[in-house]
Amino acid sequence: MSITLPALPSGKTDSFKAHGKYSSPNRRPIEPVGRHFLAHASRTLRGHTWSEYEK
Amino acid sequence: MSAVIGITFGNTSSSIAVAGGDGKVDVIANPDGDRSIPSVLSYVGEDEYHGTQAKSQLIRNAKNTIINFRDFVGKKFEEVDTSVSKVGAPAIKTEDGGIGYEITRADDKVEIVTVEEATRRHFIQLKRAAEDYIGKKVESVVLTVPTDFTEKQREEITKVANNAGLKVLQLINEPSSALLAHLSSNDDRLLEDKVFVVADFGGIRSDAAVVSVRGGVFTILATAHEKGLGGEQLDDALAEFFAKEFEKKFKANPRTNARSLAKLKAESIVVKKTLSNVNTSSCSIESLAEGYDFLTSINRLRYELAAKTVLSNLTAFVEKAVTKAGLETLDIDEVLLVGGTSHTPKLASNVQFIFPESTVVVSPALDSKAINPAELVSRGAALQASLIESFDEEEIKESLQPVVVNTQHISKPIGIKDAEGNFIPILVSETAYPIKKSIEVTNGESSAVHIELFEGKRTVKETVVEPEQDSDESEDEDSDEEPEIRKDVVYVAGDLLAELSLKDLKPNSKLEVIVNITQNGTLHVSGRELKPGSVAVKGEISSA
Ligand SMILES: Nc1ncnc2c1ncn2[C@@H]1O[C@H](COP(=O)(O)OP(=O)(O)OP(=O)(O)O)[C@@H](O)[C@H]1O
Ligand SMILES: [Mg+2]
Repeated sequence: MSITLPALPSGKTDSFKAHGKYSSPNRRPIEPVGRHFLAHASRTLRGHTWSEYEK
Repeated sequence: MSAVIGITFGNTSSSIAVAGGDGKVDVIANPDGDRSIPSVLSYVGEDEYHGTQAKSQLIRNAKNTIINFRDFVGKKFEEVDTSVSKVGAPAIKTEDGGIGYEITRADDKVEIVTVEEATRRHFIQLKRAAEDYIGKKVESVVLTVPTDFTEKQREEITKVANNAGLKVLQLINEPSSALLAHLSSNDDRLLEDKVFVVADFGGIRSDAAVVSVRGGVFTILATAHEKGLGGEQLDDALAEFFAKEFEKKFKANPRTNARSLAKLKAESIVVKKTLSNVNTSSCSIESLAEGYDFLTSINRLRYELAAKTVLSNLTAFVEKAVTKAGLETLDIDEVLLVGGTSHTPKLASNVQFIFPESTVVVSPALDSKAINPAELVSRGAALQASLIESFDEEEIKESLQPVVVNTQHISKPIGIKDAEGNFIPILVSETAYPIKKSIEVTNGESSAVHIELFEGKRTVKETVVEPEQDSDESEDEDSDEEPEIRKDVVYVAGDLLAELSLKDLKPNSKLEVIVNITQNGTLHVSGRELKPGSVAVKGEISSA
């Protein structure tokens, strides 16, 4: 089932417009288990790109 | 070649497991054939007994039988409740303020066995059992600990394992280990974003963790612990039930001497476990008290009645954990029941009852394909062991630094609105970042589309479920029943964060919306047509 986007209302011309900030995040420890954690560690430490871990 | 294994050391029992290269996990049986190995040591003269053999010494040789010592590791005598030792060797204060046991060995010589020494000997036995089973040397392990183990306890248990010849590659938390095993089994379910309660019911304690899984990364949202609530209380309830029956029959009290009590307890454990599998169990104890043999039987319903209070306390404990996380039962996708006591059918059905129908409760009593709950924790440890086996010590240490582990998580979901106005999440709440996720959409018939990025707002949708008409039942039985109201959490679009537009599209083009939050918290959003050479429209926002 594909998701259909709403049509652009007439009069909207900007291709991008920022409206607000997203809610402040929570800092919490993540659990150092599983291969997705290892990928996260590698991204954080070495700034590896996503594609290296995406299948 | 040496193997790396996973070890779970509980107060009541321990479990060891090893993962093959194919991700299949084997839970290791010791030479007695046990996979759930009692964490018990017992001494008779020069001889050391371990596991089930040691546990059976509780009847004749209780004073030299060390039980329930895991939670004492790395603790001072004053910090612990020593009543858990009362049916075994009593816990004493050692010279340095720690905890130990006075064990009488050969020629009545008294040996002080500290908790750390008992643990070291227990680990040596586990290591030997694993080596026997695998046929290879075992030098390194991943060891699990409860989430409330202090830093000091973690250091101490690591040191003790090292002294037993087991190098600890990593200590991991029990609920995370259990969840890893659960989500790695059969079909890989790690990438389904869900909120779990991992409820671990052991022998002398209950533990729970509310865990969100996002992109395969686990975050503990809350934990709960209750010492003194567990399988032993079920044993006690059953033992008391039998004691009453025995008293009535023989006018003799089996509670007045330690040996009678120990026999009663040992048989109650057997009966309890039997009743997890079948509906009736016999109970037979030779010379229970005053020379009378006790022979009776009990059915599951009678047992559940006798243990009613304990069962409801266990169930209420799960709810407490959910509340501690600031959530409601309807926010929980799945409850994973862990620990030996989770075999209890009534516990599983009670837990299912307090959650909405949409919540899946995982337990062998509800699903015969569920993994043995007493093995989940060690299975996860074995998987983690095989995962990090090839890393060197430095690499593992580096990945455990605060900069990696103490991560920001978005507090609300972020997504877009579809043509009908529904909120479609791209990132769910509690997703850790850095993260990048995309979603495929279409423009339908429109030549230009509006991508509005919103934060989701949690609402509860109530639907009235008409009671099913059941012609088999008598008329008046259900007639005054209220219609059931089904509640579901539905996220709707809340605050608008940003908008993008994509123009000059052919009908029914494939489009992609990408949200990427970098480590410093900048959120990049972009939209593009999924075709070579298309130009993305993009922008960025920050967090409050
Ligand atoms: N089939 C079964 N049915 C019911 N209870 C069981 C079953 N198997 C084991 N148990 C109970 O599970 C408990 C032990 O659980 P587990 O092996 O998870 O212990 P543990 O992690 O060492 O617990 P703790 O640290 O709380 O003592 C015991 O009370 C035992 O009687
Ligand atoms: Mg346990």
